[in-house]
Amino acid sequence: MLLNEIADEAVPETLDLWPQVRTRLGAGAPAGTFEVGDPTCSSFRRRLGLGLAAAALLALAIGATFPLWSRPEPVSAETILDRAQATANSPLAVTTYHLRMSRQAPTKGETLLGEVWFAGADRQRSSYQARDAAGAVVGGGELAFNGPETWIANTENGQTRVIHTVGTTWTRAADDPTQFASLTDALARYSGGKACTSAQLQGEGSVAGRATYLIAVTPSSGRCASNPGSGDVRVGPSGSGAQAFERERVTQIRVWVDKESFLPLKTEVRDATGAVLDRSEATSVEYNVAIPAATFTYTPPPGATVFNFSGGDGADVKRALIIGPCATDSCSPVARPSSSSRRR
Amino acid sequence: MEESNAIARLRRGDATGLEFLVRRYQVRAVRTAYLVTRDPDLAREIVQAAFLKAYERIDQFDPQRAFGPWFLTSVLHDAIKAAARRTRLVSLAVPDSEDPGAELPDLADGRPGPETLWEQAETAAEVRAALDQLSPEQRAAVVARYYLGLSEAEMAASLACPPSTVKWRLHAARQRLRTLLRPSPAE
Repeated sequence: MLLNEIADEAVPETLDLWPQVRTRLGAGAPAGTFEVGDPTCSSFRRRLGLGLAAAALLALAIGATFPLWSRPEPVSAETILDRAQATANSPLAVTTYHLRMSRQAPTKGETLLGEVWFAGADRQRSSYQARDAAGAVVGGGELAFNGPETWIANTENGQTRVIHTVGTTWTRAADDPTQFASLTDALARYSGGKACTSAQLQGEGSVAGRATYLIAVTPSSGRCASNPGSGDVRVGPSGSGAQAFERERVTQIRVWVDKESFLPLKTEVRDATGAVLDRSEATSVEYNVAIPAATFTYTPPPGATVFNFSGGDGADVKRALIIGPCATDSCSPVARPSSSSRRR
Repeated sequence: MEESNAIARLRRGDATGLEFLVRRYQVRAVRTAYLVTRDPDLAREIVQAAFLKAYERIDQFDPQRAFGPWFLTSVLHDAIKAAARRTRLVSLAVPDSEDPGAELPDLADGRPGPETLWEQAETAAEVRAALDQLSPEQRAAVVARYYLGLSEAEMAASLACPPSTVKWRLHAARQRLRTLLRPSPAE
């Protein structure tokens, strides 16, 4: 039977999971379960796919008590038992959060400072400011989801461009804590996909005063089922405008996820020489905070160029902005001409 | 150590019981999860989590039954959910993909069954690629039936689905495989 051959080829008889299981038993990692995942039933379909390449949720390294590239911490038998007892703990029920972050891309010489407010799929706000090496502000951006309305603003060279959509289906913007109920969920998030990555628990740490799991994400060096060719490795949390790196340059991505909310609080990308390509880290995070409704409203500044769209999805808007001559007054959407318009 | 002894130890919170079960069932469990998820690392992760879950919930296990089928169907169940979740996450990250979930057109009846077609396949790679095209639920149905050797009644019980649903998933999987593995016109 070919199924046997396929399975035997992928999983050798010499497989030994016991060391990892024993470690996780010791680390107190909740076994967890996957939520019933019916992709067609999910009402939550928001993820920012363009703009806000910089409004990262995560960033710089402070508070990370876990030394870089080190092995998991050794623990005593008593600790193992204590933590095993704790494996039945339920994850923290997070409905809102407020997070501040910073992000550094040493090769670009820029620092981004960001802030995120999350109160559900349709009520989110992210903002960021880009500073050059001298500390001068060189750009910034805003993202606001408020019911059916979305505002995406980007300021560069003193010019602000704003995309305003109504009823457009965007994919996920900020990380939704309700999407991840266990460490298994968090690991699954970083496995596979277009980047063809694998994810493994590497240890523990602390970010912004929160205890975290450290997950090592390794891009595949060869072909795999979901990505037969070469391509970019895209990293960063949702809403961060994930940075893309050439697959060959990235040797490891490390993600620190909150032990209770499973939100990613820090990411780090390194090349084969160990040089940091990108590092994002939360500098503060608060869960279940009251967020005023006004936080989610946005008014374009005077002089901004505003592109208005209705209906469709993020890919339509992206196509219209890229393919259509949207940088001039004669901008006309090309993907769904009947559903888009432009005005100043 | 006998399996019953291992389970008794597990019930007492003795991790050596878990070690015995891990070593006995890990390979078949990871292979089962792999066939559903098509991702060896995710399969390992699912099985690790399943062993931890078994450790936590061993009191829910009826010692009169065999541990293997109970555990493997649990792994199968988690693998379906993991694969479905990953499909959703991947689709979220690729908003401009071209309708990846589009169903292939049905074929007329009278073609060879999937088993025959598998024999005709020149390499396992063709089956591997065909499996990738099935939904997680369809892959799980194929794995449960043809890899784990479960009957349709056992599948219904283990997957907590009505027998009619199991029959339909198997039928749909066979139909899809029939389409995907049909000989090319040049043959």
